[in-house]
Amino acid sequence: MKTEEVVRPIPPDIDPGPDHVLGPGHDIATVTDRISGVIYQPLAKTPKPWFFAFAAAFALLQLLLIAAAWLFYKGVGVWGIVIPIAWGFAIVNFVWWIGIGHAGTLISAILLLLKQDWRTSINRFSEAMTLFAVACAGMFPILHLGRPWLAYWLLPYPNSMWLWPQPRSPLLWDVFAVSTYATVSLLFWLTGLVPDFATMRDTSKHQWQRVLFGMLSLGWRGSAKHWSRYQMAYLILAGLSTPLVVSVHTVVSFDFAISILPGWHTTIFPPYFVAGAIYSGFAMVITLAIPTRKWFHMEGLITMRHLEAAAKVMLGTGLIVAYGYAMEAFISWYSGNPYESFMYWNRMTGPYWWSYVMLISCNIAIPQLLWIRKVRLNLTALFIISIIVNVGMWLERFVIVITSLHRDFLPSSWGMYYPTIWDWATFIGTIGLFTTLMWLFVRFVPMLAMFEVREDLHHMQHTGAYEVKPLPAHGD
Amino acid sequence: MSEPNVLIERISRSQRTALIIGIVGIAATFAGLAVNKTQFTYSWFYGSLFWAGLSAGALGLYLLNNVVGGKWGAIIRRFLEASAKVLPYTFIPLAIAFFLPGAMHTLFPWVRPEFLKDPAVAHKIAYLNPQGFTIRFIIYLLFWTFLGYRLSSRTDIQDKTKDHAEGVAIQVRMRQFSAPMLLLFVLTSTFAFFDWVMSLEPTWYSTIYGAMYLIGQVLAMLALSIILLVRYSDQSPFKETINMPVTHDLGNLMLAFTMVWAYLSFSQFLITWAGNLPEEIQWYQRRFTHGWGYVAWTVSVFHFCVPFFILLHRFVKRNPKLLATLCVYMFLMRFLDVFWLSQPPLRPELSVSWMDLTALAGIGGIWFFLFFQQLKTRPLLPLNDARLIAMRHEHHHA
Amino acid sequence: MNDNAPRTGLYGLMAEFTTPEQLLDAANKTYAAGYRQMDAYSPMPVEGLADAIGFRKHYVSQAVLAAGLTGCVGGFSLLYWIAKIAYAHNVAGRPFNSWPAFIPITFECTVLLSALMAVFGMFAMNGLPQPYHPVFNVPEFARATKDRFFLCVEAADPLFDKERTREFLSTLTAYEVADVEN
Repeated sequence: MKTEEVVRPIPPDIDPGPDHVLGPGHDIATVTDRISGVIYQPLAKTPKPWFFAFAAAFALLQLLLIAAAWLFYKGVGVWGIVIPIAWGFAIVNFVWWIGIGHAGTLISAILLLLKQDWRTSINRFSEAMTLFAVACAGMFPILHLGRPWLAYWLLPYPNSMWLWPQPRSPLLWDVFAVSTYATVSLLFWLTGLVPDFATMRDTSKHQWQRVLFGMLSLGWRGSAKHWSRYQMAYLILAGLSTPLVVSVHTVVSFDFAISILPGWHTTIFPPYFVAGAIYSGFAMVITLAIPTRKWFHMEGLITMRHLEAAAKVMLGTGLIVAYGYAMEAFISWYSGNPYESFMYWNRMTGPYWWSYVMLISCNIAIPQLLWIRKVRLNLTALFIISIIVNVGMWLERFVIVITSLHRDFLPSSWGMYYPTIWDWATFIGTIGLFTTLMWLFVRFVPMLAMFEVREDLHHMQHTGAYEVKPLPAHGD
Repeated sequence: MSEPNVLIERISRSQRTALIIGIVGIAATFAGLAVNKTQFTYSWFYGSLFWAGLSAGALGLYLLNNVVGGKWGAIIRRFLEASAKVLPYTFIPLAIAFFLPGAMHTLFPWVRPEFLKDPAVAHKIAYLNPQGFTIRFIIYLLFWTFLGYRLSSRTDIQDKTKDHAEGVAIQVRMRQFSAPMLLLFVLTSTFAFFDWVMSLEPTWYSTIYGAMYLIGQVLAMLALSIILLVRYSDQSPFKETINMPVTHDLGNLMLAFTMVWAYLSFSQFLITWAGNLPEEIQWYQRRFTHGWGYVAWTVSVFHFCVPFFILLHRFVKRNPKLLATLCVYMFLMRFLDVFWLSQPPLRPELSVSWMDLTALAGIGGIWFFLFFQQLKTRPLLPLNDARLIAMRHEHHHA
Repeated sequence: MNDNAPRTGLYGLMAEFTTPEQLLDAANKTYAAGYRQMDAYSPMPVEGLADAIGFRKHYVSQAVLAAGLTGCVGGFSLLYWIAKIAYAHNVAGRPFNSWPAFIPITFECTVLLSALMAVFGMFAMNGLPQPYHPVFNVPEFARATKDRFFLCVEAADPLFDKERTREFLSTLTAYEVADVEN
C-alpha cells in the first residue's frame, strides 16, 4: 500500500488579495512548514530588517531601564507631575497601552464567537501583542506609586496591621481588572500554543529543541478526546474574554468617571473607552503586521483580507469614538452646568487647544479616508493612517487626563503640566520594551496558530472556498 | 416547494385579530380622554413611545446587519423591513401625544414658565423649545421614512433579479449605503430619545442615554423577530431554510444584546451613584422611591439576571420553542423597562391606570395590523439573498 | 484511558490515514464493528471525530460554571467582609455595604476563577502533562501533529485480536497499519 511519497513544495508567498485569507497552492503540511520555517531557519538567515528593528527596539529598552533606575533613585519628582496635575504621562501611557492590548483579545475571542474567517492567522500575533502591551501598561501605575517595591500593598491580604484596601475605589477595581486580564490573556495564549508546541516537538531537527518543545507541549498528542475538551475550554475562554476585555477598559474608564471632575465624570465613558481601546489596538495590529509579513514573507498567510478587515474595524470603532466626543460636547453645553461648559470650552480653546485640534485631526478627520476602498488596500496609506491613529489615541488620553486636571474648581489651584525628559524617556522606553518582546516573539515562537490555520484550510476545502490540488502519483 | 398560502392565511388571521384589538383599545383610551385628560396624555405617550421605539429598533438592527453581515439578518429581514416601514405611521400616535392641545405642557416641564426660572433649564431653551422640537420631529420622520423605504425598495429589486451575481452586487451596495446611514441613524435616534424621553426631566442629563435607550429598542425588535420566526418555522418558506446554527446564532445575539443593555444601564447607574451629584442622582431617586423601586428591582432581576442565566445554556438556544418563549417574556420585560424609564417624572407615585393598558394594546394592535400588512405584500424571505441560498443548500444536505 | 492497558507488550494497533475524512469514516466503521477502547489522533480538531469513537460526555463546562459561581460569591463576600466587618470605615458617606461599587471586582473574580478552571481543569481532565505515551513509539506518529491522521485500537479492548484487528483495519482506507509497543 505504501508508495514513495510525493511532498508538496511550499508555494511562493503570494497575496491572494482582499477576498481570500490564504494564498494559493497550500495544504496542511505546507502551511505548517511555512510557519514553523521562520523558527527553524538559522539565525544568520533571519531577514536583515528584523535585525535593525530589533537593535532599535533593544536600544530603546535600555532607555527604559535608565529612566526607571533614575526614577527609583530620585523619586517621582523627576517627572513633570505637579498639583493639580498629579496624573501625568504615567496614566496617559497606562491607558494607551492597555487599550492597545484590547485588540488582541478582541480578535481572539470575539471574532472566534462571531466565526469570522479572518480571525485565524492574526490571532496568535495579536494575542502576543496583548500580553506585551499589558506588561507595559501594568508597569506605569507601579512606577507611579513612589514606592514601587510596596506594590503588593494594593492587594487584599491578611497583614499584621489588619488593614484592607478600599473596595469603593476604582483604583482597587483596576488592580483586579488588570491582573485578571493579564492572567487570562496569558492562559489564552499559552493554551493556544500547546498543540503548536507539539508540532514543533515532532518536526524539529535539533535534539535540544525537541526536548524544549516537548516539555512545553505537555505531551500533547492530538487525541480526539483531548481536542473535544480542548475546544470546549477554548470556546469558554473566548466567551469569558469577551466580557472581560470590555470590563477592563470599563474599569479603566471608571478610574476617571467615578470621580466628580468635569471632563471625567460622564456616563458615556465606559462604552467610548472600550471602543477607543479597540480602535487603537487595531491600529497597532496593522502597524506591526505590515512590516512583519513583509520581512518574513507571510503575504500568503496574512493577506489583504486580514488588513482590510482590520481597517474596517478601525473605521467603525473610530466612529463610535467620534460619537462619544459628540455626546460629551453636546451634553457639556446642554447640562447648563457652568463647570461642564467651561471644561469643554477650555479643552477646545484653552492652553491645550493644540492637543485637542491634533486629537480631532488624528482620530476623527484623517481616518475618514478609510471609507475609500483604494486607501484600505494601499499598504503605505494604511500603515501611515494606523500610526496616526496610534498617535491620536495617545493624545485622547492626554487630553482627558491633562486638560481636565489643569483647571481645578478654584482658579487659585489652576496649573500647567510640562513633561520632563524622564517622562518622555519612560514612555519611549516602553515602546522599546514592547517592540523588543514583539520582535523576539515573531522570530522564536510560531507567530500564527498552525493548528487553526490547518483547521481553517480543511474547512475551506470542505466548503469549496479553497482548492488543494491533488499531488501526482500518490499511493493509497 | 409547498404553497406558502398557509402562512399568508395565518398572517391574515392574526392581522384581523390585531385590528380588532387596535380599534377597541384606541376607542377605550379615547373614552378615557373624557374622564381624565392628564392620565390619557401619560398613557397615550407611553403606548406610542413603545411602538415607535420598536420600529426604530428594527431600523437600527436592519442597518447593523447590512453593515456587519451574518445569516441571522437574512432570515429575519422581512420582519425588520416590515417593522421599519411601519415607523412613519407610529409618528401619528406620537404626534397626538405631543401636539394635542395642552399635551406638551402636560408632558414637558420646559414649556412651563415656572421651570424657566431654573437657570439650568433656561440655558437650554435654545434647544428645548416647541418650534425646535417640532422641526426635529419632522426631520426624524422624513429621514427614517426615507431609510426604511429606500432599503426595502433595494430588496424588491433584489427579489426581481434573475442573476445571482446581481443579487450579491445589490447586497454589497446596500452595505455601502448602510454604513454611513447607520451613523446618521444612531445620531438622529439619540437626539430623538433626548427630545422625547430624556427631556421629561430637563435638569437631568446623561451622555450614555441615547445608546442605552436605543439598545433596549433593538433588543425588543430582536425578541419579536425570533418569536415570529419560530411561529412560522413549520411552514414554507421558512421550513426549507431555517437550520439549527441560525437559531443558535439568534439566541447568542439575544444574549449579547441583553448583556449590552445591562452593561450600558449599569454603567450609567454606577457612575451616577458614585458621583452622587444632586443634578444627576435625582433621576435614580425618582426611580427608586414611591413604589418605583419595586419596578427597578424587577427590571434588573427579570430583564437581566434571569434571561442571562437561561441564555447561557446551549440547549435553550438550540430549542426554538424554548427560545421563543423566552423572547415573549423579554418582550413583556421591555414594556416594563420603557414604563420605568418614561413614567416616573410624570407620576411621582407608582400607579398603573387602565388607560396604560388600553393605549399600549390599542396602538400595538394597529401597529401589528400595519406590520402584518407589510409582511403579506412580499415574499416572506428575500428571494435572491446569497446567504439564504447557501442556507437552503445546507438544509438540503443535512 | 489506558488504565486497563497492559504495561508491557502490545498497546494496540495504529492505522494511519492521509485525510480527516478517511479517519472519520474509519472511526465510524471501527465503532460499528464493536470496538470501544480506541482513540483517534489528528493535527487539528476534526468535527464529529470524538463522537465517532464514542466519546460524548465531558464535564468542562460544568466545572467552569462551578468555578465561576465560587469566584462570584467569593469575590463579593471578600469585599463585603472588608467593607462592612473587618475594616468598616465611612468613606464619603457611602454605606458600608456599597454593593454597586463591589460589582466590578465580583465580576473580575468570576472570570478569573472560571478561566483558571477552563485551562487547568481541561488539561487535568485530559491527563496532561503526560510526557510518555505508547503511541509516541510509532515513528510515523510524529506526523500526527502535522499532516497525518491516526486511529489506534487498543489491546485492552475485549474484541482486540492482533491478527483479526489488523485485518479489519487494512480493509479501511489506511495508508499503513503499525504495532504500538508499550
